[in-house]
Amino acid sequence: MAQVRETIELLVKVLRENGTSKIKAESFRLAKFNNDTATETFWSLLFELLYFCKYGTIDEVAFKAKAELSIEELVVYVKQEMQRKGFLSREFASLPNDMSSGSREILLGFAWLLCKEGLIDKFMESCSSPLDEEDPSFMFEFEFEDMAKPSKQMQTQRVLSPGQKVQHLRLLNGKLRSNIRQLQALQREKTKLQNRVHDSTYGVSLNPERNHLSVMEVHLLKHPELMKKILKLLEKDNERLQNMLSWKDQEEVFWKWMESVLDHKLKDKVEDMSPGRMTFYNIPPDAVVKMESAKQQLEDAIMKYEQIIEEIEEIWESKRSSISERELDNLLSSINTEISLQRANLALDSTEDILRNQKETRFLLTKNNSKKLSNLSSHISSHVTPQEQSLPAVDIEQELALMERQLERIELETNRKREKYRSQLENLASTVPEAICIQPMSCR
Amino acid sequence: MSIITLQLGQCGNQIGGQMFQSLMDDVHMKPINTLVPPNRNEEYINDVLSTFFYQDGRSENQLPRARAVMVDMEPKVIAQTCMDAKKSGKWQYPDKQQLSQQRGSGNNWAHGFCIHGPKAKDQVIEMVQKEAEKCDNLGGFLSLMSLAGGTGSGVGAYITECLRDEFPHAFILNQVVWPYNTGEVIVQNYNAILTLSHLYRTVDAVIVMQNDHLHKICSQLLNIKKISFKDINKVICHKLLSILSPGTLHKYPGFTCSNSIGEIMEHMVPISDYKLLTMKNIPQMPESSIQFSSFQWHGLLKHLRQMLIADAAMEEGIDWQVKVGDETPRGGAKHNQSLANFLMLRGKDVNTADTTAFEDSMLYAPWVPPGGALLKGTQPRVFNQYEKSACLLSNSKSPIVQMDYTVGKAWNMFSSRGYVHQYNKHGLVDEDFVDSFVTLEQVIANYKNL
Repeated sequence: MAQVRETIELLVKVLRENGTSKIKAESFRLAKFNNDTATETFWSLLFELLYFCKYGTIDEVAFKAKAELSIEELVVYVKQEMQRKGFLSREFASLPNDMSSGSREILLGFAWLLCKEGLIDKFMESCSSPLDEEDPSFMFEFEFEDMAKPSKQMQTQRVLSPGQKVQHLRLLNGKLRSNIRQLQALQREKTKLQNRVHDSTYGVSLNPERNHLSVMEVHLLKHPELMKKILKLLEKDNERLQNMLSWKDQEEVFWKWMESVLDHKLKDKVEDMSPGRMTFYNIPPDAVVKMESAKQQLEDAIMKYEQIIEEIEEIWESKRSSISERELDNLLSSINTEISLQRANLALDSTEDILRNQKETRFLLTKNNSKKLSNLSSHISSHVTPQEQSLPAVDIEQELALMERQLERIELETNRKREKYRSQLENLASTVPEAICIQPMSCR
Repeated sequence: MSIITLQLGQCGNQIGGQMFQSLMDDVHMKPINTLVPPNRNEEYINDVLSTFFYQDGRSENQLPRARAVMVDMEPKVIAQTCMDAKKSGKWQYPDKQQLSQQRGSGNNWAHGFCIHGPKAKDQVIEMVQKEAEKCDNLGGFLSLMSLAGGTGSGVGAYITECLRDEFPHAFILNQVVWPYNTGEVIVQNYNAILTLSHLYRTVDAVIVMQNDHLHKICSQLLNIKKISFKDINKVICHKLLSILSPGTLHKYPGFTCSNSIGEIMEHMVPISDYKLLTMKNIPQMPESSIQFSSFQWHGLLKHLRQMLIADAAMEEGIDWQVKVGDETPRGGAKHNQSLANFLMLRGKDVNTADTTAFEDSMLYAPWVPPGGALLKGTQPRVFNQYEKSACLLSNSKSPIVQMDYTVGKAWNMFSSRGYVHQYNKHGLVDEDFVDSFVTLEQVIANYKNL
């Protein structure tokens, strides 16, 4: 029991260090027993954690938002976000919007979020070393209180006609644009100067991933008195990481305890089923219609294809039974003879024949439909003069394949002949005294 | 924030040379005369050197090099200007940042814009890129040119358009010199309107200086007998540097920043229809009399304000009858209505100067908010030997009179197509002329309705 308490205290510390608002370990225990006092704290905790998941940090915007949102809005927002992430618990969705009860459900939701989003890991990642900062401005103390308030200065005192109002607006617009341009120039300057710092410290590094010092590191080199501040920051970071590491070790205890929470819930569920409560689900209004039509489409498709599939299966079955071993062998042998015949045909052809065959051929590009081909050729022949009518139209794909084959054959022939003549030349050269045979460059 | 200067044409190059020389003279002023503590003086000098000059950190003995690109179609002027720089011994122009051809443009805008411009474009843009890379922080570009000639105006207009394409976000400030009304170049009006219309579309602001006014300043205030271009250039540079030399802008109550071109542009040209700026400054007197005169801010500012209202170019001959609040029978203002003003005060006791008179909302168009009316800048360091000096950069109606006159004359010449064939020869058609007229008429109408 004490261990559980310790673990939860640790979890609370970790959460607190990473920016959430104060929460006590006691609230966890109360929530296990579905105590209503813990509800509000858990809703706000969930809100902050969801904000962290979305934006990477819990800052004043989150706190301001929490202050400005009404209770109902906050609850609805949290429900929506959790559903978006996939937490579709019905009980959670039907919790009352005024934060009056249901802390156990929220605790379960929190545990689910912790596990799913790997919050602890995200917290660890967001602990970046202050030495890596490129922008050391947070080390300076600025006086921002009495800064200018130009907004009042830009309002006109007199009443203006519409045309003058337009001019006034144009004036403000122009000023904004000029300011943006100046900001852009400053941004460029910042980048240039950062680059210069990096260039000039090339080769020196405190961080194994980089090859130069960061701007912060250089700034500290120049102002060693700021080291104390940095040291404090680093110590804080260290502590944070330390806590998270020890949490990782003790996680088991927490999850076992969560199991006990679930057990409690299941026990209570049997006893308490209050109907008629409003459930919140983030479903768009026409979703139902869409789902109906999709279902209908699916059913139609299944009907259609089912029939075809049945037919194909029948044919396959019949073929499989009818064809025997013998027929397979016969098929195979006939294919082989076909191939050898073709080969013989090719071997008999000579190059002269090929060249002679270069007559006027008309090429057609058609799909593999022989019927169309014959139709087309008859169509063309009717439009063509008698002399050219001698040749029927030829399918271009076939011609291309034929020519490729012929090309390969010619290459083979050439190579063979080249070898033959080279050996003949060398023999000749050896018989002629005091002669050398030098091959031309192109043959080598 | 560094400023890169583009010196275009004969006039532009001479003004540029004079500007850098004046800067160097200012920097080398005896510290005692600056009336500021030495560390402030150091700061000021460093500011000037980093804004306008480039110093290679590695070689200590090198003279500061001006951040400038020089373009001209004749080699004479550039060579002369570079030599003058070297002779001073305090600064010089960077090597290989000059472009000059052999034959000029013959005062023909079309020759400059259509022929020389495209040819020179790549080289010039490359030189500008080199200068830009040397800057850590590019504040903006300052282009110097005249409106009458062929190179400064024609090539200048073309190069400025290319500059805008290359640097779409940079601030480009153009300083143009309006020729004498009785100028020697016959087609100067054509050149002027063509240049202005093209510039209006691409740059952020055009500072207009008129030779007639400058001539009067030289003769009546500075008592120079034989006025040369060098004297006029000195006056121009004095005005320009009163605005551009480092100073502190009091932008909003409690907030100050330095007077970069961006800040000045933001205040002066918020609406892109109104881009013409003029400068008035006070006092101006011969060097010999400066040490014997003393001034009070009250008197200086009173004169300056009246110069603004009555649209006077200098502090002599101001019409004191014109008052704010008088209206013509049809309800328009009789005085010179402004859109925005930038007042830069330099010298002793700047903080005691009272500039509220310039914030009078009657001086400005009705839709200008109080924050957008007057931008005040101060610099305690003495400038150019004047114990106290004030310069007013204003976006007001004053250049319109001159513009109207020039456009009228150009239109007269155009309707009889005089000299137009010279321009057609190089590729300019009548539509281009008509476009320019339309643009400028629109500008004139806009300003008249302020």
